[in-house]
Amino acid sequence: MTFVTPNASKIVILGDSGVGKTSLALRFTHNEFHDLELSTVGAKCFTKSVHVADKDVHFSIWDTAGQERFQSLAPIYYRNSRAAIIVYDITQKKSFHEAERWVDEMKRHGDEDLVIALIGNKSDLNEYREVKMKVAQEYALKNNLIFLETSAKTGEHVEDLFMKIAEMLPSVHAKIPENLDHNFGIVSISKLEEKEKRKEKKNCC
Amino acid sequence: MEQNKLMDLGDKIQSKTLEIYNIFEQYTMLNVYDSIYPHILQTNKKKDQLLSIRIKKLIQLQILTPEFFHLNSKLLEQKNLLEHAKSNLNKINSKKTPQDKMDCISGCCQDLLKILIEKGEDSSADNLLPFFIYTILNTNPENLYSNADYIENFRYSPVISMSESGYFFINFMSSISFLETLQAKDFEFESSSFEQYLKDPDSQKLPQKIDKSKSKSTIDDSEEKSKNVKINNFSKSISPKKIKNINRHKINHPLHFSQKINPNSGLRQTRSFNKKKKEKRISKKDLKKFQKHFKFQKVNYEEKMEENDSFVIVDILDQENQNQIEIQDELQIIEFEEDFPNKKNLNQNQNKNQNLNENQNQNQNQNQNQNQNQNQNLNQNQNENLNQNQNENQNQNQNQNENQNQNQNQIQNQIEIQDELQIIEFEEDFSNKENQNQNQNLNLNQIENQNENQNQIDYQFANIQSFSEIQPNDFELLFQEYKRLLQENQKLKILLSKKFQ
Repeated sequence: MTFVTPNASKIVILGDSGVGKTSLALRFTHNEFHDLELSTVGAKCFTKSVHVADKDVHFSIWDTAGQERFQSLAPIYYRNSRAAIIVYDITQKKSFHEAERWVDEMKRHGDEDLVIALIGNKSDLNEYREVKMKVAQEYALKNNLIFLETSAKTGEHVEDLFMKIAEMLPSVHAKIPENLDHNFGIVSISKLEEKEKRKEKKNCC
Repeated sequence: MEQNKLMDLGDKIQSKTLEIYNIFEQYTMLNVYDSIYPHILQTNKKKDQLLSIRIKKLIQLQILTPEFFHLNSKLLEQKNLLEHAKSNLNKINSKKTPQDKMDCISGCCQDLLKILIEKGEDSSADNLLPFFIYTILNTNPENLYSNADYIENFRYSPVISMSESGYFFINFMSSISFLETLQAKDFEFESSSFEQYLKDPDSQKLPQKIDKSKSKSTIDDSEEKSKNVKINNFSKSISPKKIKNINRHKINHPLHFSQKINPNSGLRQTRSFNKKKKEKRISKKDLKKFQKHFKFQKVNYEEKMEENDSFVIVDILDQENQNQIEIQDELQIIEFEEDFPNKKNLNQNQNKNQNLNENQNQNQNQNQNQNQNQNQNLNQNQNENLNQNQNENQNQNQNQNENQNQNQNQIQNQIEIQDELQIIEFEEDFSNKENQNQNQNLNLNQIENQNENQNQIDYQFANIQSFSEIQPNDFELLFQEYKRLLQENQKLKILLSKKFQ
């Protein structure tokens, strides 16, 4: 049974089909890599917990379908997510354009404090490169994105990616609540209040 | 390594708290089901009917073939597993609690994943989602909408957004919305006739295919066609004054002009929570076309308005439905409020019984309370017995209470021991900083021992299989256990943060 905590942070992996979304998640959570025909772990919600700086981060990583005809369903998947990993294949220019489209969509429809990472996968196939690293890097700088080139096959930079995301996520401090009865429903009222305050401030301006 | 071990322990504790939470949820939802589910069925009745008709029609058209989804024909050869998956999906309407319904969905998905893995196909979401949509299409279980609505509103929300079964449930939701928003242009059908074909249960006219030579001038074509058609249902019931109403309600009728001009508009509508999206308005050109179209049929309009006023009725129905939903929401809230105080009373009364075992008066009070809760299976059984032989039952109650007290004492002892262990741990932790390594190893062992103890406690609860056997006393124990687990979780967190700063 997978663990469920109110502090777990949901991460969505988006990108064109065949870009390596599932294998990226598999490499991070199980430290495995399979060619397509040998994979034994199906699509699911991958989970792993990490300790960075002074906080625990419980990742639950959601795989999505990348085909064009399912793109309109994406909002159902990225609802409530705290980070989005947008993956493209460095050997396919088309997948980079798709990634740009995803970035635009997440900027428009995602939460304000959503962490977005742009990932060029398959960096082990450097000979067949179609997307220059500089181009992608500049694009990421412009849009305030985390940028890395990874390889799910060799495991290069995969760990770094998730560590960086964990650092960027807002911290959750561990405290023993005075009245546990109030914590029974696990609804953080303080957060709701903060959001309301923010809204009020905006209205004043 | 130690860090990982501690994290694993945390995971175990959290999964146990979830298990207990699930028992609570399962029990309450079983008792509340009869009063809640009919309302959900009613509010979603229209949508359910439309969707099931739409799916039947899509199957008749034979558009959504395995080739359309790029599914390998190998996959459909495994008939045993496929039928198992289908039967799993069909069970969804016989289950009562949101948990059981979710289990049906995830069981189906896991069967599909098995097939994918056995046939050596890529088992990522790229393949799972289309395969799942294909199976839903071919099983077409009833009340898809209300099931999804019920689960979404009554299941513990972190489970939906964080767990594996939640992932499969979201797949279920998205495949429903995929079937709903299928577009005619994907199959080279003319959009208005396509939509009409899918809406009417009786129509047998196949939708017209678009001629590629004329495809650029579809707007003019459709205008001509509408003139040729004798009288459309839609045109009968529309007066110029109601044009504004159409715009306000945004009804997706095939003759909605702004839809035709933007072939992509359907895509945008599915992303419905786009806040920045501006409301579409009918442009002047569209209006003129609409008015021309209307003038042509003005002669017949006033005569036939009263006969068949379908469009207007739809409008009014929508408004009525909204009112109903509001009323039902209020009703539900009242029901909940009624339920919970009674349970609290029950618990309190039974506490008193434990303290004063031989007070018969209070037993009578308890009986009264139990009479109030007729919904609960448990209490029904007890009531029947009570009405038959009150004296015998009082004796039985006393015996039960004694037994329960013994159980409780045992468990409380265990809990106390564990608490002591924890205190010792913490003391050791902070006093002996010199022998940290040894102590840490000891601590880990002790915590693991604790876990074994917890297993024993859990084992006692695991024996309760049918929920009608659960007594309110058990709930109190469960609640204590739940609290304790929460506390332990917090302590673990602090340990972690202090050790690895």
